[in-house]
Amino acid sequence: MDKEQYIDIFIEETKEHLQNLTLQLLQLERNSEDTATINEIFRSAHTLKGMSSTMGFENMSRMTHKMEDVLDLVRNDNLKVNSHIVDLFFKCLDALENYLENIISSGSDGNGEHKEVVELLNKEIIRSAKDEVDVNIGSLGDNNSICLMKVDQYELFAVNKAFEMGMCVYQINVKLDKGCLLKSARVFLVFQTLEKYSEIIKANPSVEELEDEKFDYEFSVLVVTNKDMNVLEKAVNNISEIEKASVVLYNPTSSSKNKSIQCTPEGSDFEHSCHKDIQTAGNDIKKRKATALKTVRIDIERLDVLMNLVSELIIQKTRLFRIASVDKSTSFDEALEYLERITTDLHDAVMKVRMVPIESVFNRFPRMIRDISRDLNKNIMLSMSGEDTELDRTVVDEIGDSLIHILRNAADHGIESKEKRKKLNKSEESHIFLRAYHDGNNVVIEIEDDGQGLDIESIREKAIERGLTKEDYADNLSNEEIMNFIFKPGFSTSDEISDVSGRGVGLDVVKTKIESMSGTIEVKTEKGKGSKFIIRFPLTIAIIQALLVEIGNEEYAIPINLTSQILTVDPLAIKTIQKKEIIIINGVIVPIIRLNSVLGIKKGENTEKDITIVVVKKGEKLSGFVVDSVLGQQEIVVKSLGKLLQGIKYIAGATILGDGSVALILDVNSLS
Amino acid sequence: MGIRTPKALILIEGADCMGPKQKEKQFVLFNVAGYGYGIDIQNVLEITVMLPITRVPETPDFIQGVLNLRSDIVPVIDMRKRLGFDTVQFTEVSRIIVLFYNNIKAGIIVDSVQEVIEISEDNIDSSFDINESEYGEFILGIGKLDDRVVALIDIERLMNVGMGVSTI
Repeated sequence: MDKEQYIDIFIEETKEHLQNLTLQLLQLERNSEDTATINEIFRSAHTLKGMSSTMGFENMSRMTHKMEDVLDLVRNDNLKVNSHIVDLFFKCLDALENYLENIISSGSDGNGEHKEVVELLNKEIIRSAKDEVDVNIGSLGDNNSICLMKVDQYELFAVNKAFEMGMCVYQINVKLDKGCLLKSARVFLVFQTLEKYSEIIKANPSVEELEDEKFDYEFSVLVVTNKDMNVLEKAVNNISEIEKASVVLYNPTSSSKNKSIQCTPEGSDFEHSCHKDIQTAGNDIKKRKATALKTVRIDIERLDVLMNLVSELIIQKTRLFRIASVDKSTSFDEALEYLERITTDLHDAVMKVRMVPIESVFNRFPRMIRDISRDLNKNIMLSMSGEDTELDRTVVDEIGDSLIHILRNAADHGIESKEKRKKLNKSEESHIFLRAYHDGNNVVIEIEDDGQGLDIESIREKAIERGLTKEDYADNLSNEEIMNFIFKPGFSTSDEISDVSGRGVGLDVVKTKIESMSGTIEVKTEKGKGSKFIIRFPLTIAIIQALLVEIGNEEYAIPINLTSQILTVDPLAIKTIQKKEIIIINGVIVPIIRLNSVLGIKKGENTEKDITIVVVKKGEKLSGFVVDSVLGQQEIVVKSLGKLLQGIKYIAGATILGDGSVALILDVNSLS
Repeated sequence: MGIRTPKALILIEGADCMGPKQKEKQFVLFNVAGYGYGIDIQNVLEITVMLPITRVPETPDFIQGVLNLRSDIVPVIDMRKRLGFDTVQFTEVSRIIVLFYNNIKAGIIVDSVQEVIEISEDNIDSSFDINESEYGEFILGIGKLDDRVVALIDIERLMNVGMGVSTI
């Protein structure tokens, strides 16, 4: 089988199933009686088993197989779910994840690591078997001794398909001579012979094991053929050093209870049941295909190329508009309007491709918090919301470690021990909230805990001790300013280094990382009540709507989402208070900023005329920018000014206008 | 518009001239305020005629602004100001040499571009104490070719414009 072709899909789907298993197990831990959850876990484990054995990952399929056995016991009420069982399953998940990592890195699931976990599963099975004699022994014992081979869903489908096509499926049990020396060579000959007459579906033990001579003297092969069984039997028996080969008709009927295949005599209802199986199996395959086609994996660089091309297109479109405004023609205008619509849609579509829900990052946290709260003997509940909030791909890929760091901090330092909480009259159950939501043009991620909060005093002392500030200077700092020290390099308030947090990587790294993605982080805290970290990211900012303004003879762009209104006022409406110019808009005092003087633009004096003011908002705060005129609104492509001018004041970037000239984008935050 | 000098010239003059055997370096020779300067051709992306330049506020005096180079925003340094000469109007022969060094792209405005010359390493004299002169810090050494001498530009220092907090 050509595995390469499917390995990507396998990895993706395995990840999905493991994720699903984690969630379901957490659910099961909370409600051990929930049959729906157990069924869901069973389904995932079963699918994983099928997939991994199809791909030839023996370790993985062995593990999932055993999991399935144990789950079957649970399902049939032969085994009670307790924390021990859940822990065992989590161990299995860790092992499966480890297998998957091996598969991703080396293409193989390793050399039988995590055998001990399988052993533990076996123990569970045996233990419950002692309690319940009725348990199907067949599923516990050695597979080789079963008279008819087990098949998984895919093989079953193949078998059914063969029946449908009027072919027969036979199981051939071969026993080699005891004195046979080159067992694998004999096996090869058997296979070769069989392949002349038939198609081999499955071998037990597996082909790999047979090749490695990991079997005694007996093996079975499942084949599809249109030849008579006697022909096969004769052919195989003709091979030397074969003690005995027997061929039996293979007739599958799946029993939902134990998934083993039993031999049923050929009967009138055979065809009927067979059809049903084909149908269900067929549906299954269809569903599988649908999920596989749902995602296309694209290199992020290709997306960037696409994004750049869209940017170019928009610049050229703007240029066409400028030409059209000179040369008036209706049909040309119509064509342009159409072009405008297409480019806007195209832009939206490309942007959406880059956006992924933050879910993929959040998903791993419930398990993490569960493990941490066990390690620390705290009772921590993690509540998450807004998992479907979408963020730019690069941010989602990079944000994980930072969030882990803050969450670990919250669980370790933020949340008090159970005893302490009791003393403080707080509920023993502590909470960490992880929220993501849109706020205007930002995406906000909040991590809030109901722990002890940050200790301003100890931060202040630590900052002085670490030489981050001078004592007399620190006295004059506001609480916010002191709190910001936790983001400084070389600052860590925890005196002991624990396993959970405080491994030398500080919040300064978190802050740098977030800022490198043009995000911000701030912290709010209340002593004894808890603390809250707020991370903000801009939505992808490559193409924005902007207001073009003229100051002197220079053109500047102001992001439209930061503007609130445009006013034309009499110069007398501007008042001066404490040497600062202000204007009152709807009863609100708004400071006036003369852009020409701030930006050093030479300008002819014309104080007689009305003044145009663009009112911008920075958060809740308003400011009035005085401009000479407003040229209009335009879609602009934000470009960086380049490394040479990095960190420049007042300017957020540049854009290329329709005529090819460069207009600078004002940094409203630093100006107002 | 832009004259893609370097690659074309290398091809015409034979590609092997950059080989290590001859230990010869190629320099783009340009003129600022009547003086001859050379800049390592390996750092030259292209040479273009003057393009519209947008002034950028809050930058050092010698930053002329930014220009649109085929949809790429490129900051431009006025070499007359950078080297401490009086400024004059740009002329027909004024050129912008677009440099790429240390992942930074920038253009320099020069009075004119003459030619590409080869100077063997033996003929580059960096012992000459040019730091004595006021703007000598931008000079890497003096190149001699026949009877001519050119000041070779130290791109690293030229590009270090002291902007922002985390420039490189």
